[in-house]
Amino acid sequence: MKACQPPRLALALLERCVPDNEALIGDLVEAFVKESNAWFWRQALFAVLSRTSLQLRTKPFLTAEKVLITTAILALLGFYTVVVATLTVRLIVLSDAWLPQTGRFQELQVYFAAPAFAAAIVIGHAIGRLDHGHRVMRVLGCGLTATAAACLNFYLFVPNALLQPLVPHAATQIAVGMVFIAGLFVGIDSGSPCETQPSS
Amino acid sequence: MRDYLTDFELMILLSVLRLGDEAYGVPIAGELESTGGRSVVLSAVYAALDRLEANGLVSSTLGDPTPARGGRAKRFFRVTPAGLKAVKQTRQALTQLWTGVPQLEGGRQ
Repeated sequence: MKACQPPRLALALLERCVPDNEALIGDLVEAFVKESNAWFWRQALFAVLSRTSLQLRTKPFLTAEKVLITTAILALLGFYTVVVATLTVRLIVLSDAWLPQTGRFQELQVYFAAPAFAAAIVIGHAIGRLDHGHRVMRVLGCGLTATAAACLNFYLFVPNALLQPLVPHAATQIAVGMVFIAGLFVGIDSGSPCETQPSS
Repeated sequence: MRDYLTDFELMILLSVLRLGDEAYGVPIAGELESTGGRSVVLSAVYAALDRLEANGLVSSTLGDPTPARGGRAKRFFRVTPAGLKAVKQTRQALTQLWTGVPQLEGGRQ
């Protein structure tokens, strides 16, 4: 019998988006013992979509506001990542005459989104394995990983990144950052400790 | 209020009737899955139950919180007299539709 909790991010999503349906959340937690993480995610996403659809019909302005706020937070995190990565690259250039050629795979950037998201999930999973007492380490791990990913993105996909002004191709880079950070969050959620114990 | 139930609403009401005092989300979904032979989304079940409750066809009460559910209460459902009447009316309508269809009678294809 499983003794673990359902995916924390999915549970948090339910508690945030469907706060008034305690019975539904309780049912999902109860049924999860016999089901997989994927099953819980599917149920949670359907519940959130169903609630969003209902809210769109009854309170369209409030729902649009929530969607905008979530997107804005993710965009802000992506922007910070890109700024930090750009500044890091500037420091490298200032401290050394090393000027690597960047942007050699510019045309492949779109195809990079899916593997970047997958890599972020794997890295986030590893960060999520850290004990709850290491929250600072988790935050640092996320920040450093996202910054490293943004630097790698500059190196591989942005032509002449080191010779351009601050934050080259800002919109694209922020979008890439958002995808990576979303992947990190998903990975951290799935990396929570989950023991299996024999049923008595 | 509509006169007749949709197939999903009818299946839910019949499941609640079959389960009696133990009719809450998980066993209702279990009944639907075993009858329909496919996975059921719990939020869809709750959406239908909310609609039925708003139409006065079911009533619900909250049980005690349990540790297995993370301290959350169960919501038990009961079919009201109006709900039972709706089930009977729907069965009557379906039976009338069923009769007199040659393809469904006596071994003919």
